[in-house]
Amino acid sequence: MSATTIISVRNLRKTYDTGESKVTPLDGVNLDIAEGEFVSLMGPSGSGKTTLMNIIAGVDKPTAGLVHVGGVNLAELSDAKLARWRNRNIGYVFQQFNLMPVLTAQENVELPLMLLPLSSRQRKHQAKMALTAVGLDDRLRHYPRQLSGGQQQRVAIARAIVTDPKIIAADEPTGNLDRNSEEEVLGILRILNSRFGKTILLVTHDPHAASFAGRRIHLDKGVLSETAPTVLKEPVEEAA
Amino acid sequence: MRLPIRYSIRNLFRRKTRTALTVAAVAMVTAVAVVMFGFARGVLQTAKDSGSADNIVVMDRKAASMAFSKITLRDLNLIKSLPQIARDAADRPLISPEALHQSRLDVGEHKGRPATVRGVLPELFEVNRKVHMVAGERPSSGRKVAVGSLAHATLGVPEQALATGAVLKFQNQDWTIVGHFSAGGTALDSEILADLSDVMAVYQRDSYSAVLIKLASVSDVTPLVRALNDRNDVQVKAVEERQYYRGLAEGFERVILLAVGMAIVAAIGGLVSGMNTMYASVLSRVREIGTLKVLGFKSGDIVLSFVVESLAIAALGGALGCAAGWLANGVSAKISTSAFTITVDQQALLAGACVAALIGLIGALPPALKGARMAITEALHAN
Ligand SMILES: Nc1ncnc2c1ncn2[C@@H]1O[C@H](COP(=O)(O)OP(=O)(O)OP(=O)(O)O)[C@@H](O)[C@H]1O
Ligand SMILES: [Mg+2]
Repeated sequence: MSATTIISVRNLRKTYDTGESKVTPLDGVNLDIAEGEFVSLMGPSGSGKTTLMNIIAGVDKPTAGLVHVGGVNLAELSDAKLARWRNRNIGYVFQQFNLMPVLTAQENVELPLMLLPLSSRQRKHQAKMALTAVGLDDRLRHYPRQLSGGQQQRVAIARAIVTDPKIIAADEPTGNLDRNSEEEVLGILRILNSRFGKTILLVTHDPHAASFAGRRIHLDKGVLSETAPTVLKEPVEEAA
Repeated sequence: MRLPIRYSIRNLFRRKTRTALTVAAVAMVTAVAVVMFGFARGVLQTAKDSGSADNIVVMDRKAASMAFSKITLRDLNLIKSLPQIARDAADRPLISPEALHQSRLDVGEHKGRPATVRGVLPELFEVNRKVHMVAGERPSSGRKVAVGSLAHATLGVPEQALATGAVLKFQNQDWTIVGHFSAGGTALDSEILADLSDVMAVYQRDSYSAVLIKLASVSDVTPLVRALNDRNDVQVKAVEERQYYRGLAEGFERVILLAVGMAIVAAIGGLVSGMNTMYASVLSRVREIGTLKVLGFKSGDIVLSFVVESLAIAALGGALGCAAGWLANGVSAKISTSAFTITVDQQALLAGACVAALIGLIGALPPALKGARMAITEALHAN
């Protein structure tokens, strides 16, 4: 790999202690992702995919191990600094879209920009650009409930890219979508990766979605393994 | 403000019924606070306005209150001869002997209403300059009486029941209303003024309840009060008129405390209602909160957004409550045989606005902090 490493995970362990029981979904995980890679992360339910992505995205914290993203050791950031860092460096896409129902598409996309020193006009302009990029420039004033699932997820992607972050973290972004919408969303992710050079981490259960990625990782029982990019032989549990 | 205000405001419309109910609750609490505050102010105002700096009230040394006070004719004459007393144009001393009775009287079909009947001489109007006739004649012998501007409230009868010519019945006698007076917001406003000899005759008394005197010079007031209290040849005690009414007001303190207590209880009710609403609001939006944090918003941004939401409810409820409370301005309320005008002024409205704002603020903070402090991953798991 010639490109620079943007994500570096070393000996990562994560234990959830709920009081009654302890769960350790990640135990000694090592991972390097180069800038501009499109990586898919698969694995059985409960294997820790979301946990790993959240830790990389600065949303969750490791129990042990080192996580560097874009050269920053996330453990060294205070909660407030981490929030600011997320705002600028991570575009997060959720399975359930997680749009604010009381805000229009454009207002939703503007939200991350509220944390940047921008004028209202600049915010509106940037939000419009982002929505145009996902093909929704004709839906600016629509509320989420007036949009289809696929359109809502595209708004969410626009919200994720509006601050121009280097990394897009998408947790089963097509999990709630029909085939057509899924194709649209995956197509957008592919373009973001190929044309805009975004590094993409895509958690999915769907081998077809994973096939959009240039590199495919499998997580099972706390351990990561790589799958050859071109081969499609994922042991996905729902497929069985 | 990093989260847009419209985000807070529009969220209010997500649960219209709950928002409306909370607005109503805050409005009620605010109205209660405004009215109670206005009532307390009315009572205190009456006490403050009553009494003039150059007046002295002389009462029976042994009496606990004016109602039981007895001043003999001999003592009255002694007082009359005091050189410090101011004199009118005809060189008569400005001295107003009074006979005071708490009485139950009938007003037309309204039976047994409690009121204060004060037997006075025309000199009263010289000594107590706040008292003046607004209509009709002064009280005079032949059981012709004048009623104060709040007497109807004290008696609990409609104002028309006390029109000129109406007849009051007490001590088995008919008393005809011949005039209406105002005492300028002082305690006398709740009373009925009658002729001194009529009152003394009908209550079969040969002593006075009190003597009000006006001094020529304010600087004589304190020395004379002291001197009278030190004298052994008269059985009287003297007190500055202002202090006398202030003392009466202290008796109303308990009532004021009660009013304040009611306002506080109402405020706590409003607070619980507001907090309940905000808890519901926070709990229904846990995943949104988690999402906002992922986007980079800090706990403080989220708390502020909920506070704005709550303050919007409080502002609307507070405004409605102040408007409702303002309707009570000028309405009379009574404590025993005294009536007071509820005074809803700027300060009363300000007090109401503060109550509403506090409910909005305090009601929002615990739920907002709870929501904002939740771990992001947990918040994202909520539905
Ligand atoms: N906040 C938490 N508290 C306690 N346990 C948790 C928490 N988050 C996750 N876990 C546990 O950690 C394990 C991994 O969860 P994670 O959500 O990362 O799995 P996943 O691979 O994303 O699963 P899925 O495919 O179903 O989304 C699970 O056993 C889960 O129960
Ligand atoms: Mg998951």
